[in-house]
Amino acid sequence: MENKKPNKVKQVLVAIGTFIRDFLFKTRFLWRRIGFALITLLLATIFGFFLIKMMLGDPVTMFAKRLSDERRIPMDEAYRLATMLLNYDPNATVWQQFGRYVSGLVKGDFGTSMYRNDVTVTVIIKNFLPWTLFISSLALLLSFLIGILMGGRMAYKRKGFFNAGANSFIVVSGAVPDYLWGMILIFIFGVTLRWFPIQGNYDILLELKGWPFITNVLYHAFLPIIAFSIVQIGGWALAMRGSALGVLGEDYIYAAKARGLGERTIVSRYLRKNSLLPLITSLAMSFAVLFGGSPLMETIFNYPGFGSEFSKAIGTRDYFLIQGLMVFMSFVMILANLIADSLYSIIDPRIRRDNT
Amino acid sequence: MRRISKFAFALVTFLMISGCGTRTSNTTGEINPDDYVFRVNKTWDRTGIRNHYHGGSNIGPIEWLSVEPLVQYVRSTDELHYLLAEEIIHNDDHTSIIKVQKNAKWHTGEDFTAEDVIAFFHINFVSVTNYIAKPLEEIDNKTVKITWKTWMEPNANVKNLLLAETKVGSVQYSVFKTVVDRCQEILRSQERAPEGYNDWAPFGYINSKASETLYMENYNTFRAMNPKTFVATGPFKVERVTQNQMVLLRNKDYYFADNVKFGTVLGYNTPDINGIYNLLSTDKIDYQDGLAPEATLNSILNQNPKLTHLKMFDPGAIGLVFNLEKEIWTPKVREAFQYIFNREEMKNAGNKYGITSSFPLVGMAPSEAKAWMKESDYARIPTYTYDQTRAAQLLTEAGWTKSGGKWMVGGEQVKLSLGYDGSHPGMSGVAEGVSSTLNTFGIELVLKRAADFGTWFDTAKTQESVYDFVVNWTDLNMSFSYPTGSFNYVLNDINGPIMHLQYFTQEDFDNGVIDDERLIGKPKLTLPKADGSGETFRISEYLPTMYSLTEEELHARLADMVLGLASQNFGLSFYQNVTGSFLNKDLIATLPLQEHIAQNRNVTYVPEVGSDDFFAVARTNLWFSQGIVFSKGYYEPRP
Repeated sequence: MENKKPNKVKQVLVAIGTFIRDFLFKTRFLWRRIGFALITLLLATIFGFFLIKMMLGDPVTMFAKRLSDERRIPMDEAYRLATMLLNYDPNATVWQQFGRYVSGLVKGDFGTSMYRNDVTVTVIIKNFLPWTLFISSLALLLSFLIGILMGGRMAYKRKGFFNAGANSFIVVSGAVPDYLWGMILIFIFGVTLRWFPIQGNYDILLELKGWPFITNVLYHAFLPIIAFSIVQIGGWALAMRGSALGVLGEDYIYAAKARGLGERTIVSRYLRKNSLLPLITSLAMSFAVLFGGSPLMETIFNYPGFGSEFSKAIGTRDYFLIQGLMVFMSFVMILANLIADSLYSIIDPRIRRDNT
Repeated sequence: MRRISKFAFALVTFLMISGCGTRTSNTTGEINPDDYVFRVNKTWDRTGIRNHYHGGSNIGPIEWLSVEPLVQYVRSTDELHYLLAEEIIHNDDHTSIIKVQKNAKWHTGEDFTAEDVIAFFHINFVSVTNYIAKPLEEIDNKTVKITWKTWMEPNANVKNLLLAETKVGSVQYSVFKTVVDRCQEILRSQERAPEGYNDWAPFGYINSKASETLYMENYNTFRAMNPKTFVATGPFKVERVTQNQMVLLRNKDYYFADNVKFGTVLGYNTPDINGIYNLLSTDKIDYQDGLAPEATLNSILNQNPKLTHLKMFDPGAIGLVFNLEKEIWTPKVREAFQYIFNREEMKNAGNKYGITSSFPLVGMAPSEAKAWMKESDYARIPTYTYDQTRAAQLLTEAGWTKSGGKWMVGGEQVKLSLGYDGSHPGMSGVAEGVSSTLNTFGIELVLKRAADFGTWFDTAKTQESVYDFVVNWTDLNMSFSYPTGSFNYVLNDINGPIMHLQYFTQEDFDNGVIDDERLIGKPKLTLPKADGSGETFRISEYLPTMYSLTEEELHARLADMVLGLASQNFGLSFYQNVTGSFLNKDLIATLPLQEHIAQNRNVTYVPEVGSDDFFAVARTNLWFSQGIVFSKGYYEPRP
């Protein structure tokens, strides 16, 4: 009786140990990827820090120039003021700065603007990322939707007017950069026809609530979303066409045709659904890319997004913000890669086996 | 597919109908300010603004329309407009009396008092405080006394301008009491400056390293403060601010309330130049300062028939500045370069509306030199014509030879690199023009475009810079026109480091080259005096006392400096810059130059220095006049 208790504990401990060992063994592919992800993040952080240090342009002089322009004060006065206002010690060595940077990151502090101590990376993410994600995710979904419809039809009907038209559209939309589409749309629908606003995210004269506000936000987002979408549609259409062409050779398609099902039913129920699977993972990866925003497009539409703030930080040599925003974007990309990689491994055991 | 198309069409139509429902328009009939909206673009921090001028954020139109100085000067004309100060009296006993407007109030409704004036100067040690001998005194609730340092007392004109340079209506004592009091405490704990001490000593106290640290800590606390409402006294109150737009409403308690004829100012935050052009073309804004390339400017005016564009002098000239570190720039070569260029063509490449200059680098823009120098001295400034034969002759005298159409020196083909700030359209145009001229003339030129000012300046001032010479302002006055700012720009702040002028070092002091430690870091340059005596003067000894000169002394000093600099050919000016303002002529009834506008809305006439139009047109530039047109009632809406 007395020996039974320790045996039971021992058995439980052994069971837990075995479980942990099995879990770690089974998920070793995942841990390896997490390890790689952490190393990549570390390298990106170090690389980013030193890359930024190599940028030309002394922030004190640049800030002084800005103050001199804004306040119409002489450069010497502006320089004195700039030195007082900057949260930056130009005399600190690179290693001291690096130490401060890393210790901040460890504490979860991505960084604070050199020019204003109330502007942190977190504030920028909170204020600007939602607007970026709003237009870019809507554009992604819209382009995905149109792309798969177009690609599916192109695969099913490989001849005819539609195919030629779609192919031409893909070539043209892919060849013209997104910002140029933005400018073209602004010129036609904003400046010439004046149907849509040429910039901004909503009208300040409206109350910040209710249906009028929502429609006004959508109204302002319309042109940026279209501009973003145009360049992406072609990519999705081609991917969908490639995938659908593979599916068209499958037995169940022939069976459906043999059963006398209509074209629309075959395309929507059999072809499109089965061709979509490989595109879903690409869609997930594309979503991660959205976090970086699109500085040029956001600038053209004067949209208060993450990308335009990032480019502004670069323009003003706000080192601390640039570093923090770069780390954040690296983190999102690496995390998205990690998730996608892991999902592949979970869905397809062959990948797991190959890697282990 | 068909269903999706129908849905998309319905959505677009719905958005267009419901989204564009908000529009403002001017009513007709008698002028009621509340009916009139003035729309303007000026950028601010999208991350949000702090509710005071000193919070560190860029505050956009609030700076023009809400935050006021005692006296406002208009850039380029130095015209003074009394705002928060009702009167400033300069006495013979080295004191001045500031009488504050009786009805001036903060936007919170509290009185603007002498205490607030003192609070401003005692927490912001702006330039003028260095000329003041002791802390400001409150005579009564609305009167402040300034006691000037006798040994560096500015003349009356400069006193006004120095006082006008600061936005005094930005520190409400009752709001910032703790930091202002702390600042006073630190100030009074410092050592007093002895008589004759002309280094930095605000209110006659010498800043120690320890007190600098205390000031910084205190100033950071001050910056971080964020009162509930924006601290200001001006004609418009901040109503609402978003990332892209801002609403300012007329301040009905303003001491010049009757002058303000617009009820609302709608601000846009558009930094991108093409975005600004679109706002102008689509009638979204009523004002924008600056120029546009000729074709763009005309296209904007064609698309929006309500707009006109007026031009005014920008107190700065654009040209070439030589890097004297490079051995190639011997005096003869520098002189030769004065003749190589067709300056009219260079001007057209940079700014078609500019005024061509035939001067070398002289330290003052032509319009400023004309305004401040004695006429006879101004006439002595050397002018250079387009004469490539003369240039070739001078280069030959300098030891250059020409072979196969290419200039050689020391047996090697001359190859120069020209740096310029590519973000400045005028400078980019000039760089292209210079490249074309020099390549035709036989000097191979490599253009080095920098993406922005910071990159360009860093590259230009570094030792052994890759730039042999640069396109830049050969003189520029950012502040008031009284001659000093531009000389500082040329000799100390920007062009000095680019030219690689030599500056006094600690070693010079140790070796007895200079006997005053405060000359360390100041330019070593000595120039010949203008009187032809053969004597020279040290520029570093001239500059610090510029503010204290009588008119006669100033004339003599300017002749020495301008003609002295001209004799060195450190650079050459292509044109005096001209800037402008886009204005909605249908909204503003009281614009100057109505006859010109009626003839051509792109008004190319630049009024002569000192004429009535010169003052009236400069005021239309809100960056120059900071909203005087509203507070003084120069702008009235068209009924």
